[in-house]
Amino acid sequence: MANNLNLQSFIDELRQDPEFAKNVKHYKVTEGKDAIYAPFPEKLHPSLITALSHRGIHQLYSHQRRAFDFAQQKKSYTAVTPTASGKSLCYHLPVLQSILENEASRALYLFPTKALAQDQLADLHELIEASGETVLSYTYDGDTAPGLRTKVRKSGHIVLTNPDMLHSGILPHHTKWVSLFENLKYIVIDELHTYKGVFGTHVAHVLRRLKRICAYYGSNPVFICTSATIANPQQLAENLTNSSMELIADNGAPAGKKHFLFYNPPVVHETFGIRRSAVLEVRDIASRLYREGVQTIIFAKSRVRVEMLVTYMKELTKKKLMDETIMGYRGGYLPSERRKIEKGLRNGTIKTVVSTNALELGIDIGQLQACVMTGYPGNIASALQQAGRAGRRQDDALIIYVAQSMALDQYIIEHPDYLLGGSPEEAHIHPDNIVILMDHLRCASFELPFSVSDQYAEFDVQQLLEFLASEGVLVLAGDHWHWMTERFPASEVSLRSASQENVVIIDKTRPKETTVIGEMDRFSAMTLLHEEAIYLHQGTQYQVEMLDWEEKKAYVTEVDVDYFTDANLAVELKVISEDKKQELNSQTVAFGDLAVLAIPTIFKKIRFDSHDNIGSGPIHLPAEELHTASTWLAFDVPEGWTEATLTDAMTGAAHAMQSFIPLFVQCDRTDIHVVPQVKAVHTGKPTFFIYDSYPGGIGLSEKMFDQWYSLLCQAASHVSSCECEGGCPICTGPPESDTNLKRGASELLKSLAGGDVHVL
Amino acid sequence: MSYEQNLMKMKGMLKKTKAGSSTLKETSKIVQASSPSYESQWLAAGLEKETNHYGTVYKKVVDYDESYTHGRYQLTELTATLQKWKSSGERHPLAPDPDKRLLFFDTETTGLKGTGTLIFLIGLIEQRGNGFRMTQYVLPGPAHEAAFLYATGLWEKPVTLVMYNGKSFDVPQLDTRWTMNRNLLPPLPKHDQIDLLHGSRRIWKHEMASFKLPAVEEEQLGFVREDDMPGYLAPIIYQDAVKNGRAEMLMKILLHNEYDILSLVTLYIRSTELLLQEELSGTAISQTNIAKWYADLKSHSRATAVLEQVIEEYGTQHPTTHFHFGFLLKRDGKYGESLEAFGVCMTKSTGRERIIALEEMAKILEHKNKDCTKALQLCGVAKGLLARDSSLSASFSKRMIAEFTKREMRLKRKIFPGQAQYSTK
Repeated sequence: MANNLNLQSFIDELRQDPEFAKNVKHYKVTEGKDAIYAPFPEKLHPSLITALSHRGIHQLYSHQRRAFDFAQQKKSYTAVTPTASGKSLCYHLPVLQSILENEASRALYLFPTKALAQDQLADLHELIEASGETVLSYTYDGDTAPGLRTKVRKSGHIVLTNPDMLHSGILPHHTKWVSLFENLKYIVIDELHTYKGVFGTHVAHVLRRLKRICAYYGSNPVFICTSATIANPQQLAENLTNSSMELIADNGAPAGKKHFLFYNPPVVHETFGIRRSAVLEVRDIASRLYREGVQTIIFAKSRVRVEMLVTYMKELTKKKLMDETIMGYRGGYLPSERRKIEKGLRNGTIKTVVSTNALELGIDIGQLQACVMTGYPGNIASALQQAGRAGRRQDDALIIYVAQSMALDQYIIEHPDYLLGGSPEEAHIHPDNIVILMDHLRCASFELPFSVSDQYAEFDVQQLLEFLASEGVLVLAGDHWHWMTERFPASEVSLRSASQENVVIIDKTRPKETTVIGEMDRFSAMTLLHEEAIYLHQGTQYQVEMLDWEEKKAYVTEVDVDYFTDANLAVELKVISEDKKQELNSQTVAFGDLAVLAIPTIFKKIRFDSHDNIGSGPIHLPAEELHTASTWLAFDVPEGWTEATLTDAMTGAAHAMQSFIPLFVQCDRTDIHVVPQVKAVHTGKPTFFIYDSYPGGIGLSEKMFDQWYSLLCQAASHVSSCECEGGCPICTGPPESDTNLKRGASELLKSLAGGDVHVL
Repeated sequence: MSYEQNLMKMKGMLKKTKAGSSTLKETSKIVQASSPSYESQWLAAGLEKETNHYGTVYKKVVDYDESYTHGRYQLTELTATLQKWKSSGERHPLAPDPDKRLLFFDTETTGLKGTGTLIFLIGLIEQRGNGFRMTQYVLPGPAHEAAFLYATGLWEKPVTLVMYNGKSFDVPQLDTRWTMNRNLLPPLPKHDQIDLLHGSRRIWKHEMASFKLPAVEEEQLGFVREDDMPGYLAPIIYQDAVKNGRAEMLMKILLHNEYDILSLVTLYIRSTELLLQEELSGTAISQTNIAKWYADLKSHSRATAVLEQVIEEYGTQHPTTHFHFGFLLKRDGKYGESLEAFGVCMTKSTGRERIIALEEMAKILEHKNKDCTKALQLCGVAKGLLARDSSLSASFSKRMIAEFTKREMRLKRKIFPGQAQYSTK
């Protein structure tokens, strides 16, 4: 409890500091809650009771008991489990029970990443060891030694893997896994909420293929999913697995008291309403926590921000040799590097870690006391996951939310209950995406030929199979569609990104010792690894010397400069088909297919601290073409408006709209785009396009098709009530020189919304 | 029109049915598949038809009489080869089980891995009386797989398969295909496997740059392929044969496969000749490789005999021979001779081999000859080499320098007892 006292007095100290307190807009405390228990099920195997009592567990939390009971009834279920609520027992217990009852039983655990699987294996081993029984559990991924693979396939009771390995390493070789597929009782899907958007859609198909193989070998496994708090866990799980699900939403685990500070940086530019950089504020707050010895996790939204913060924070330890109390943690680091950081967090040698959302997931890093969020992560589920990183178990925790100047961030600071009390967003997947569907139909055909009367999960695919035959991929022989090329389709389909190949980042600072320091997907590489870009890795700056686009290699050398780079993308749009259309206040909104041509144009050099623009240069890279789903709104030029005023108004309005889309659908900012065109080729009128960033679309813009009205109202109300004068980054984006973006944008949005301005 | 645009058009065609769960179960009911439409074309190209209760399979059968030669070797030399193995009594990876049928075996497939890859051609050669018979089974189409696999008779009883890279390719593929048809076919027994790729790598290491079968044929078997269709074209040609019925190119794949299995027979003869010869016929390098192989298999007397022959013939020309000989002599407790053998390496070998030879000499001098001064001197020589020789890998150099330094300290303590010494810790 000394711990709690410390934290409380530190919070009091912060709140009494006038410089700090004047920026704290809200201080909210969520009370902890007591545990709700349930007795062990009667059937629970005595060895499991032994194993649990070894951990000091003599009864279950209510949700763990319900999970066990559903499993006994052979019902698939989804358990909503916040951080540290004992979620792993929701699946370990029924799985181990089935193996102890019948040695032939098998289970497959799926984790979104290799790292999580390895972490959970350690936990599972402990439990098995304490039970005194022999249950074989292994991870199966790219790191599994070749010599061990046969053993895992033949005799592993529990196989822990990830969707990518299932997709390309297990399903296409199912004949080597006969004993697993014949006896598969449970499929466990941990971190369900991470399977959304494009990745989730891919995984939905991998699971459909998995079920198809299980059916072939005569097994009908029960699905067990665990999820963080989202609005629609049951719907997501059912959509993902194409199976009906029971929901376990009431959690019996206890929770500690959480102190939330909502911190808004001071305004530094009155006219534009620009606030002091959140990154700099976070640096100061985190330094304070560091000096107090409070173990802290800092979340930042982008890799670049993480690296900037690490650079700033390391100033604190500059004079100490080999000090590793402050570390960065994000995708793109090598696995060995990440393992070392996770360990440092657990044993307390690392005091401050700066992370992207990689650590939102259930990687076990032990107990942190405080969490600092640099801006709103874009959705409530993420924000709550981040907050859950602090104060695991029953200790008090401090969460400081530092707002950025952006619209959603400012919305949250004004409406803290939206975050704390409101319902979180929905997570969506879109298995109907034809591009993804076809990718997996190919893989499924390779794994097992379809007959002329077969379905693929919920889809009637005979016409699609015919198409694949016409493409020369399949041959109809007898009454089956047989795979008939030498290609291995799973290797041509990546679950993680739109583009297949990643760009490898090679450090050639020392010519004799070139090393690979990371990798990045192709689309991000267009704007982050172009030549002359400054790439940050563990706080070290590198300049990209050469980007070999053909070979997907970026050569970098270490530099020491006081700026970072930021690149622009130009897009061209072409409507391919118009599928749906409706009227809205005498304007037309439509939904259909769109071709997008994206070309990176220029980059800017921006100085640290002051964030001044100190130079720019062109980017020479080929255009990337994207066919996707889009919704658009066309309107007539308001009377008396010149093209120039219209351009400014539309730019401002588009900025405002883009900011608010995440309030309607759970997605990252980069998943969806709003592009204004003063005279669109397709409509011949001023038009706003909203399109999905993924080939074929993943249902986001389709959802927005019905929500234009709410979106316009929301944006109009936000822009007109903004405190700035002529437009600012919070509402319309910063205006160029002396134009007034705000008035035009506000007028335009109001008139599009039919004059009926809605206040949320 | 791009693929993506095509797909966008098909979006409208996508229909969904709420999971009425069409049960796709393995069929265990045997339905005889009917012959393909292109049967007449395939028969005209020279294939024979065979039917069984699963359906149709095509095959080509060729008999070779006792005088048939393939490159430098007559196929019938195999009789002597088998006799040699029998009388040698060696338990060697290339030694056949005399109680099992010996089948020379090679497949052609439609891809490299996974359950979507089919075997479409299985070629077998077997000794029959005084001659040989080759049978090639051709898959009429994907619907005839059970008939095709059944016709090979590989399910009947365990045999010995002689292959080239079969352990990691042909056999796993065969297992996969069998599993895909497991509810129809009798189970596949576990066959003995003799992999001549592994054998060739052991015998001709450092002597041949490539172990592709045509390279081995040219250098070791005196056989040069004429009019050969490269193996990587096989998948495309078979697809064409199934989609359009064209068989001419397919027959060229059969010829390619025939060359492969004929070479298996003569490569087996050639390999055995080198392994079990009475008199030296290989090069110093290959013979030393063979001796090393025997030593690794714990067949020490045969290893020693081979090395002695090589040394008699080639003297100190090939120091590696003396290197391995040194280890065998040491094992037999012949330390003086072992020291001599490693001594050859000290002057004639290079790189890693020379360093390890020096270490072995230092060990013998220190522990057996009790000549610590000489041993210490050799440590100095080795360290000097390690410091200068940039061809050695950094990790090897680092490890060995540490080893020799430790040894030096120990030796110094023995030579100068009672003096202040560095700690070996």
